[in-house]
Order: sequence, then C-alpha cells, then structure tokens
Amino acid sequence: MPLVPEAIERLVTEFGRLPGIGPKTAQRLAFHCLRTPAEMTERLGAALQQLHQQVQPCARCFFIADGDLCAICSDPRRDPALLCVVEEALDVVAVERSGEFRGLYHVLGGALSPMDGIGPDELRIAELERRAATDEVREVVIATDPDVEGEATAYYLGERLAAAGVTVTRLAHGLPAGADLEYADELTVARAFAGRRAL
Amino acid sequence: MPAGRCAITRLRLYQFRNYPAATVTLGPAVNVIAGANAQGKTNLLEAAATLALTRSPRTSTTGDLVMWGQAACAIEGSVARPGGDTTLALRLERNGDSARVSRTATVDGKPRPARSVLGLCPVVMFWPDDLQLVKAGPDARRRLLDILLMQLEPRMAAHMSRYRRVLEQRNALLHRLRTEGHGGSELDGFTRELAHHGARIAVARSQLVSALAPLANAALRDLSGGDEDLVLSYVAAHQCVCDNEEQSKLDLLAAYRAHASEELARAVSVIGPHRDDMSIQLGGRSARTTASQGQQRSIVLAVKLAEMRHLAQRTGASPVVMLDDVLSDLDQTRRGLLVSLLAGRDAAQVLITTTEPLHNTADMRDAQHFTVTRGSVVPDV
Ligand SMILES: Nc1ncnc2c1ncn2[C@@H]1O[C@H](COP(=O)(O)OP(=O)(O)O)[C@@H](O)[C@H]1O
Ligand SMILES: [Mg+2]
Ligand SMILES: [Zn+2]
Repeated sequence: MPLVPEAIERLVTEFGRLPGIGPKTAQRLAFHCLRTPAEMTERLGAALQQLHQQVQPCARCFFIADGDLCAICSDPRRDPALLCVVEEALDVVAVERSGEFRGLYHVLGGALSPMDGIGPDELRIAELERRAATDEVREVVIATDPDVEGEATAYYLGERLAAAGVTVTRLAHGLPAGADLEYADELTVARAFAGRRAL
Repeated sequence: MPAGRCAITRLRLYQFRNYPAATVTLGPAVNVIAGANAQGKTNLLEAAATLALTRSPRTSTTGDLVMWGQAACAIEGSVARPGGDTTLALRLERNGDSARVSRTATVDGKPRPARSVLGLCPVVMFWPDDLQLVKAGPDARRRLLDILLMQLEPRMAAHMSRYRRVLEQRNALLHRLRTEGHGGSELDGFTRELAHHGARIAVARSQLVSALAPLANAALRDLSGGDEDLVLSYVAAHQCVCDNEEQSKLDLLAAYRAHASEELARAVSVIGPHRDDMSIQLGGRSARTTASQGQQRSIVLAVKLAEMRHLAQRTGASPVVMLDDVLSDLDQTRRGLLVSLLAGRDAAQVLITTTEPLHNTADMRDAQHFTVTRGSVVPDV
C-alpha cells in the first residue's frame, strides 16, 4: 500500500505541473490544502473549475474576456486607430500597468519558433492582417518580447503589414536584454512606448 | 607583472560529481593535486571552473554535475582578489524527473544573474585535449576564445547564447523549407537576428585575437627561444575584416544572400561565427601542417600564457590557472619553464592535477600538495 493516499498523490502531481513548482513545494502545498478547512479548498476548486467555463479569448483581440469582447475592446474611450501586438495575454496586463497605451491590442498567441513547429499559420497573424487593413487602424505597435523569437516575429510582421498601408513601429529597446514584457517594470514599459521606432 | 592575483583560497563541494562533501584550503601559489585515475582530480578542477564560469567547461549536460542519485549539488569558493574578497556559490538542482537543472548563483550570499558572476574569478584552463589545439578542429579554438571573451565582457555571454538559439531556430526553418517547401517568408527575420549577434561575436573575437597575438609570440620566445614568429589571426567564414559591428553585420547579411541556395540544399547555416577559426602560423607557414610535434606543444603553451597575461592585463589580477593532467605529457624542460613562468613571473595561483607524485621535483618544492582518493581530498603532511 502506498504511504500517502491516492487523493494526495494526485494533488501533488497536479501542483507539480504548475510553472515554478518543484516536487517539494508541490508536496507542501498539498499538505497545506489538507490542513485548511474544507470550504476553502472547495472555493479553490470552484474557482479553477469556472476558469475555463467563464473565461474565453476576446473575439477581436484574443485577450481574455468573460463575454464576447474583452474589457478593453468594449471600452469606447480606447483609440481604435492604434493596435499594440503582443505575444501573450499577460503582456497586455504588463502594458496596461504602464498606463502609457490608450489603443487596442492584438494577442498573437506566441512567437515564430521553427524548432517548435510554430509558423505564421499557428499564430493569429491572418486576423491581425485583417484588422490592420481596416480604415480605422493607423498605427500598429509591435511589442513582442526582445528575445530571438520575438525579434524575428517583429521583423516578419513589419514586412507582412507593410502591404496593409499602416505605420508599423517597434517598441524601443529600453527593455533589458532577454527580459520578457511580462517581467518588465512599469517605467521601462512606459519608456519603451515613448521611444518606439518605425520598422 | 600584474598588480595582484586572483586566488581561490577555499573551495567547498557538496554532492558535486563523486564528492559527497569536501572542503579544500588552497595555497596562493602552486597547488599539486595528486591521485590515481578516476578518483576525482578533474572533477575538483571542474568544480572550480564551473563556479567561475557559472557552467561547466567540460559538459553541456548540467545534470551530470550532480552526484548520481542526488537531487542537488553545490560549489562554494572564497576568492581573494586585489579589490577585496568575495564568496561565490553555485547551486544546481534537478527539476523532478526532467533533464532540466535549475541553477542559482550567489555572490556574497546574494542571488545574482550569471552575467554578474562572470569575470569575478577569472580562470585559464588547460585540459589534456588542449594539447591538440593546433591540430584539432576549429571548434576547440573558438571555445578557447569564447571562454576568454565571456570573462572579459560578460555581455558577450548573452550574445553567444542568443546566437546559439537563433542558429538552432534558423536551421530548423531551413530544414522545414527543404522538406516541406514553405517557411521562406519567415527566414529573413531569423537571418537578421543571426547577423546581429553574429557580427558582435565576430568583432569581439577578432579584437581578442589581435590582443592575444603579440602576447603569444612573446611567450613562445620565452618558452622555446626560437626566432620564428608566431602569428595568430581571426579568420571569418564570411571573409570580413571584423573591426566594426555595423559593417560586419552588413557583410554577414550579404554572405547569407550569396549562400542562399547552398544553405537551402544543406539545410544548415553555412556562414557566421560558428564557422570561423583562429589561424596559427609559425614562421609564415600554417603550424597545423608544418610545425613539429614539439613546436605545436610550445605553441599551445604560448597561447595559454597569452590567455593568462591578457586576462591579467585587462582585469588587473592574474587569473587562476588550472592544469589538468597535462604536465606528464610535457618534457622536463617545458614543464619546468611553464611552472616557473606561471607561478614565478606571472605570480598566478596554479592548480595542477597529476597521477605521478611531483613532490621531489625541483619546480614543485614550494608547492602545496594534496591527495585525492574516491571523492575526498586531503593535504599531504
Ligand atoms: N555525477 C556523478 N556522480 C558520481 N560520480 C561521478 C559523477 N560523475 C563522474 N563521477 C565519477 O567520478 C570519477 C571520475 O573523476 P575524475 O575527476 O574525472 O577522475 P580523475 O581523478 O581521473 O581526474 C569516476 O569514477 C566517475 O564515475
Ligand atoms: Mg582526470
Ligand atoms: Zn479584446
């Protein structure tokens, strides 16, 4: 018979799949849950369960939404002439924190990565192209990560959007080398926006 | 002579390779670490080098450094330098069952990214393979330059790892282009990234070789007394002068355009610093094809001395020099000369491993001696 009941082992395994959580931490978390009152673990369970039922990608920008459109796309005060292109939904949160950008977003869902079989068709680039081609959009700001894949993606988007008749700019490299947007502090992101350059 | 030296005064290992736990207090000059085969002599030098470089110079599989069956290992070294003493530590931890290993470097107890550890304890290493440096393939010479560069300019380490990454991506894309016939539109972006980092690496290496060349030539005279000139030069696969990053980048981009069909046919990137080399000429001829075995040995020693002196000049302190089992391959004269140059004139701390006892040799009289047996190291009394 195993030392630890199956129910705990299962929880340890699931916690262990989360980013930044090693086997020891997973075990600690599982035993912590065991010690906490049942209503708390039930709340956690319910929150996890509702996550995928209630949250879905925004139909326009692919940021997270609890309806058809996300909070940003449904905000009439946002400037639809400006599009900021990011890799992941979390990057939107980072840019929003800077308070520097008043336009709309487009979440690509990653960056070009031939090693992982990710080409333009695996990203929401066709959708971006369609949005950029509308009369409303004047400038597309590319804010992919300043790493190898993000830079190559930015260059690719620059070439591809040139045909859409919009101004394409790249976030300035005030970002520390190798830093993800997600980890950059507000001031750095704000400076990067102020200093964006044409592609 | 440099203003001072950098020395590892104490090295502690925990579950590193075959060392369960060990503490060695090293002397400031020559340290001789003796032992039979497979006892842990190379492992001990590897630990010191890994601490200084934040990664092993011996393997790219970091998990190999952790003792078999254990989850983590640690190395800690007290480093005495002219600017004050520091304690460097590196901890490696396996991530569950995956092959991935997480690394945490600390300087004086504070976590630091790898780039701020590089250069704090400069090292020059001399492994048995280095004796083939003249004859070996170009990657051995590129590695020598790169290890030196990342210690001199830590930001180069970032360009090198980006370059390796984009090279992998670009080769994967070329492969897909060849097999599936699509992906061409993404190639340009990766090519630019490759040229961007590649140009920086090529220029930095080329400048480094220019700095090493006169030092190596002078060192060869000290060693062999011959009068033939030793000339080192950087040879870029894209035939660039490599003295300016912007120009070098344009040259690289032009070379990629010129080799486009070859790259597609072979599905690999055929141009760039991963194909460059350092040419070694003696008396106007390629040392690889015309120098005698003895001359080639002397050239290798001269290059090692040049590495050391360049690091000493640039950082203001002699680096720690490690000689792994190479003395037995040198004749008595070269060996004596090398040790007296390193420990005497250049006043470096030297860590020497050997399978033969060196107690009674004249050049080792003032050395500190240790014996390694199955993962434990003790000073000789
Ligand atoms: N991760 C590891 N865990 C335990 N032992 C190891 C590990 N890696 C290598 N070894 C052992 O270390 C020994 C080799 O040590 P090394 O320092 O290369 O020997 P030498 O004294 O000949 O230089 C071998 O016995 C090898 O089995
Ligand atoms: Mg050995
Ligand atoms: Zn939206």
